[in-house]
Amino acid sequence: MKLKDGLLLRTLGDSHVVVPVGQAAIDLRGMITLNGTGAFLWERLQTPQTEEALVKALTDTYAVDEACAAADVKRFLEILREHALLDETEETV
Amino acid sequence: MRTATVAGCTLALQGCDTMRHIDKLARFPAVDAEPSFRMRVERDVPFSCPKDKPLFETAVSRTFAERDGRYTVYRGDHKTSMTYDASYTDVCLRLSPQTPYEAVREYLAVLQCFSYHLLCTGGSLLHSAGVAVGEVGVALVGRPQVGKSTMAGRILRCEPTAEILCEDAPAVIKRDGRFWLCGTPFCGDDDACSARTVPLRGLVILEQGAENRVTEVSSREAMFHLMEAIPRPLYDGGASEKAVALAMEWIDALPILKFENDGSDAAGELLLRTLRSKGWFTERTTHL
Repeated sequence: MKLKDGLLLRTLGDSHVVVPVGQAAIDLRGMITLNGTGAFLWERLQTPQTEEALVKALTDTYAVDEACAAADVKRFLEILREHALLDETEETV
Repeated sequence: MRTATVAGCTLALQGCDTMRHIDKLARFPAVDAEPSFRMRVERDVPFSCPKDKPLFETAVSRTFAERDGRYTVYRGDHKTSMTYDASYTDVCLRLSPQTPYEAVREYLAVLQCFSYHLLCTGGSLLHSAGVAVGEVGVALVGRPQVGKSTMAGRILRCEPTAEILCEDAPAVIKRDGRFWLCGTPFCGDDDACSARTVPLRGLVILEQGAENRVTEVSSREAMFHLMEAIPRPLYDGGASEKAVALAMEWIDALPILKFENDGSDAAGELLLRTLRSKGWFTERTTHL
């Protein structure tokens, strides 16, 4: 899976915001705000990732145990799916 | 060719009702110079839609591949096309015989394309009410119907030196490392615009509220409002990216406040008092 095109992550001071551009701006009105961990996962999802790889990236970078990281990644991906932000076609799996 | 100077650019609009509107206002002087933005409207032009190489398709338009450094966009109904070069300095809006001519369609095309042209030079139109207070300008930003024109009117009533620069879409441009607020003819009311350019002191985001209160605004909230307020053609991802970069620059460089208000005279007085206390209105005007 990876993020759909046209979603720009930008950092404004301490905030991380995602601004849709082009086609994404028509599909998604408004913006998305992320915390630091969300921005970390978002950056990784610019390229195809598996859920396991995201969990490993989190545990490698942050002082968090695997069970907690797995739960966070699961919830994060659920939110992305709810808003149809993920490209889960065959090429991206 | 008739030209007009708007926001430091020389516009040449051919066959446009928008140009007739600018002429009628007689506030935007013609200059004898090569136009920096040229737009023409061609009506009753039979054309067919090429079928090859679509770049991408949206709900409102279809964009086709670049040809000889120019781009052609067809509206969903395929009865309107727009051709432009990479920096939107030369735009042609073509209306087929089947297209019902609407001045508003042309006006929106001029607005979006001119705003994009400004984006290429580090500026933009800004959907807001631009007001000069004495020597400096402030842009009142907010969603449609939030009361931008009302608040501009309240400021005019409370402050004798205040003047409306543009009630709907003033321009913000950058010159000599500073931001300037420019009156434009893009407004609904003929009396609600001026050709003046003043230093931009800051932005005020308006929201309706039961109480009148001025607060600081977070960067992300400012970004949300600015992205709504910068006109751009949605079918051009490059335009949106430029708009994001510009909004970030404004957020970094300009004071931005939020003003929840009930639209009353008292609200206008409070806003003026607050902005004065923050030292917004102290600079001298320099005309570009």
